[in-house]
Amino acid sequence: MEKKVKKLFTVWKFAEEEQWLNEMASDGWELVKVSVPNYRFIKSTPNKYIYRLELLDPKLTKKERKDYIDFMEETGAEKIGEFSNWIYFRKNAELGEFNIFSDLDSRIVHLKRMFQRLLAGFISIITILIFSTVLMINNSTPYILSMITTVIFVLILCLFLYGLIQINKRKKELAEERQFRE
Amino acid sequence: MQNEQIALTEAVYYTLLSLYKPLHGYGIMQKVEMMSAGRVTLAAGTLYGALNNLLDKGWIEALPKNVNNRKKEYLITAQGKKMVEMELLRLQELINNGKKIVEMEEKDNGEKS
Repeated sequence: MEKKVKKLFTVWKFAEEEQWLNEMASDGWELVKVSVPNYRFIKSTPNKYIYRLELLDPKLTKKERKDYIDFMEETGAEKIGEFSNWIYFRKNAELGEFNIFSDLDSRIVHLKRMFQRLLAGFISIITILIFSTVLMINNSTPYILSMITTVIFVLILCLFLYGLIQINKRKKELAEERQFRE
Repeated sequence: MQNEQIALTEAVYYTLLSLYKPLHGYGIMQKVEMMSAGRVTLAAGTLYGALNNLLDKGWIEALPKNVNNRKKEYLITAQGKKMVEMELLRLQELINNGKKIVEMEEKDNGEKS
């Protein structure tokens, strides 16, 4: 039996996405394919796999990326999909607990990576916004059209800003904890 | 850098310890779990980051792959051993001072009661 689900998660909701995939797995729905926003599940034994998501460093070369995924697979994990630099890993639950990170430092690095990625998006939207504003003024685009475009961009900007604040908050919490423990 | 006093993280400390004999990534994870009687489990992503940092610092080296061994193996270097020895001294100091204070407190309490 197969099930296709359409669902969209923002970058800062990655923990929720991971949790959702694991809840599906505990209901016996095993994720077999991802091409965001489409998830394909097949019916199987509940709790067969543990799912984990990781955003890879976009600066990695092709070889470094492959090296890393090979390394993960040597430890019993399996890559079942990717979306831009997000990798979807799973591991058979019989092989024991599955986590990608086991200390605060590496979790903080992962959050920093997300923050930078979102920031890059934020900056490019601002650039587009400025450019289109200049263009619209020069070309005397109908007022209502330019207003609509601007409002849409500003809304997206607000969403990104919200995301940046969320990630930063989480990062700060971990950094504060890091002062007492690893 | 050699004289710099730094506290190693648990992941780094145990990774270095496990590499006194050549091991590949998964081997390190298993050995560390065994050594710490299951208390410390290194997750693969964290271990990978630690290995790369240790390679950059020259505290460990990657052994050339051979026919029998498809997986990359690592080994601690002389500098890495030196770092472990320095860390042992630091840990010893922590233990000694901790014990001194805690035992003194226990003795005081014992005399009072």
